[in-house]
Amino acid sequence: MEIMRSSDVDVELTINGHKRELRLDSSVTLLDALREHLDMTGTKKGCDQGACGACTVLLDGRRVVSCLVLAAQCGGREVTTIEGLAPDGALHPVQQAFVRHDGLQCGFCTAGQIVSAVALLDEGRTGSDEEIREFMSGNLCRCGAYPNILAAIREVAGTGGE
Amino acid sequence: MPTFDYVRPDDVAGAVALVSGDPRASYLAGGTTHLDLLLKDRVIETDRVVDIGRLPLRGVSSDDGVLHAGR
Ligand code: FES
Ligand code: FES
Repeated sequence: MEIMRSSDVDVELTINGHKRELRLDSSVTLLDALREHLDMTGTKKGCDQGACGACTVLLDGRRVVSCLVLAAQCGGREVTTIEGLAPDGALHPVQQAFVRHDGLQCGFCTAGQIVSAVALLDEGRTGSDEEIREFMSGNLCRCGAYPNILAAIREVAGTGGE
Repeated sequence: MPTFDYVRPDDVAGAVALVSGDPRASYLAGGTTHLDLLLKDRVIETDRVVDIGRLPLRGVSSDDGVLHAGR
């Protein structure tokens, strides 16, 4: 059994392939651990309430909103953030497609959109425009870049669309 | 968010024991409601969060008119 006292939680997790050991308050979310404790600010905080998807990361390969996951819950697990998609500086194909299709305006939602889109391809949920829209519905874009986000994902998926 | 002890028991019996005897303890499963509405908004206060996310509590089944959530 794992018992951790408040204000004194030791968490060892793997972030983008690198083992990290952190001592955190038990109430620190994965999002705050990334941004405030590891200076990994690629993952964005939009609502901090699980509503917008800006903070989306992969936890053992599955999409989660990192604002609603405690860092302590991630002990021994693998986290992939937007930084992990382009480890050697070469953009991930989904990132390239977002650039080509202008899939953003202000860019605040973009890290979450791209992490979600990468997961969508893994999940095999890119069969049609409708399916892409449905399975991207957890990622809001206040700028309304949806048509271009869709076009970018559609191109990488090779699903022609329309 | 207020601070609390974080506990991740190895089995179901351990989790039940940690929560049932203590009104200031609570279960954490997916976390969507617990972390957001309850802890961040302080609708509930808890001294001990018992993480059941890795226990083998999966699926829903029924037998003899009884519905089982979590097995
Ligand atoms: S910041 Fe996590 S869902 Fe909005
Ligand atoms: S590009 Fe501005 S919120 Fe999506």
